[in-house]
Amino acid sequence: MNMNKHLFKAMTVMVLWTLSVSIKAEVAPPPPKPECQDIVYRKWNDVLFVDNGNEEYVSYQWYKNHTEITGETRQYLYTHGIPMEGDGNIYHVVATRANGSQVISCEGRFEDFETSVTLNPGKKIKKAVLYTYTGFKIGEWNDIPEHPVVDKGCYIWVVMYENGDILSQRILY
Amino acid sequence: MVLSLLVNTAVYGISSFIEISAGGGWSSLGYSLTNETQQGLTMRQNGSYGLNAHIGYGLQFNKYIGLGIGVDLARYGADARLKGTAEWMGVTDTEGERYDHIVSVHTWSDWQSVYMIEIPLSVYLRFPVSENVRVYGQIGAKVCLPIMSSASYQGTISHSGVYEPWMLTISDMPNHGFYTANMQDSYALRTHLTVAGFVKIGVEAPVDKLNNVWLYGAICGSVHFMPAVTPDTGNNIIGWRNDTYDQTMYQAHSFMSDYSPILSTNLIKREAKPFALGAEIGIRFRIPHFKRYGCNCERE
Repeated sequence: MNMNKHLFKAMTVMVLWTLSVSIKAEVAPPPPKPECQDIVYRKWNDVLFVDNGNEEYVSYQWYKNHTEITGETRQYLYTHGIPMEGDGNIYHVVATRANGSQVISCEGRFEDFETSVTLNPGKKIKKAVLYTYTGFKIGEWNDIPEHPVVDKGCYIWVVMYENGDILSQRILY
Repeated sequence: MVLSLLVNTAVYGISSFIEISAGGGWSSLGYSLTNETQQGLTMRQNGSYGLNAHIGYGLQFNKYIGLGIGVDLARYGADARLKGTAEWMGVTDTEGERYDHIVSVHTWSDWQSVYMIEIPLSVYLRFPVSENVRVYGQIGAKVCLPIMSSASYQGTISHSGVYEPWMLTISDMPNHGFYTANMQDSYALRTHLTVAGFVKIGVEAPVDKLNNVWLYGAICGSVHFMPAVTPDTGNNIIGWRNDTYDQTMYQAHSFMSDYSPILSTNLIKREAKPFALGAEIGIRFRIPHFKRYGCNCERE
C-alpha cells in the first residue's frame, strides 16, 4: 500500500516534469532571424545586382520565391531581356564574405528594389552639335542621334551637358 | 678611276644583257604603333611577306661597271596586331547611369598590302672571283607606282561595363551593349607614288657559256623615302562600335567611333614608308658584243 503510494507520487512528478518541459519548449522564443540588408539594386528591367562597393562579398546565390536559382551565382541576376519588372516574383540573394559569413538581402519584387541610376547618374546631355571636319555645322540635337550623317567620314561632336561640362570629340561614322 | 673606266671600256668594249628574276622575303609598310593614348592595349606591326618580279636591261661598260634599268612588280605588306583593353571612362549607359566602358581585344589583326610597279635605275659593280664566278653589288633608286592595294581587319572583341560605386562588372548582356563579337571587314587605302633606294649583293655564274646565259642570286633590300599609304583622315580615336546591331546597341555605344582602320588612328607613330629585305634568283642573257672595231681595209 505504502509502496503504491510512492509509485503514484513518482509518476505524478514525472508527468508534471514532462508537461513543464513541453510547455517550456512551446513558449521558448524562436532563435533571432538574421536581419536582412538592403544590398540589392535594380537596373533596366531585367537586372538585379548586389552593391559590393566595399568589396565585402566573394560569392553569391540568387533566389526566386525562396527557391535557389540554379547557376545564378554572379554578382548580378540577369534574365536576358525577359522583364522581371511586374512578374510578381520575390527575389533575394545570399552573399558570402571571404571569411564564410553570409548576408541575406531583403527580399522583394523587382520594383521594390531601388534603381541604381538615381544614385549614380551619368551626365545628361543638354545639347549636342555635330560639325564636319572642316567646321560646317550639320545639326543640333537634344541627344546623340542614331544616324546623324549619311556620308561616312570623320566628324566632330560638341556635347554640352546639363552640369555645364562641354565635350568635344572626333568621331568616325 | 675615270681613266681606268675609259681604258677598260676601250679594251673590253660595251656589252649588254637582259635579266629576269623573282624574289621573296619580308616586307613592311614601315609604320610603327604607340599605345600612348590607349595604354591598356599592346600592339605591334609584324610586317608581311614581300614579293618581287623583275625584268631588266643592263649595259656593261667594262669588266667591272654597268648600268641597269628595268621594270619590277613588288608587293609590300603589313600586319598590325592589337591585344588588351581599351577604355572609355565616365560614359553613360542607355539608362542614364555613369560607368566605364571596356573593350577587350582578342587577337585583333589589321593588315594591308600594296602592289607596285617599280622602275629601277642602278649601277652594277662586278668583281670576278674565279674564271666562272663573279660577285656583284648593285645600288640604285626606283620610282614606285602603286597599282593595287587591299586592307582588312578581323578579330574578336568583348564589351563590358564597370560600375565603380558598386564594384560591378557587367558582361554578356547583349541587349544592353555588353557582348562578345567577331568583327571583320575590308577598307580602301589611299596610295601614293614614291621613290625608293635599293641595294643588292649577289653572285653570278654561267650556266651556258656558249650562249652567254648566267644564273645569279642576290640578297636585296629596299627603303622608301616617301609614305606609300596615307589615311583619308588621321589621328582618330580607335573605336569598336558595330552598327550592324540594332538601335539600342547603337545608342549604347554612341560615345565610341566605328572601328577606325589602324592607319587613320592616333596609334600610328611613324608614317607608312615601306621597306623590304629578301633574296632573289634570276637569269641573265648576255647579248653578244656590239663594239665596233675600226676598219683597216683600203677603199678602192
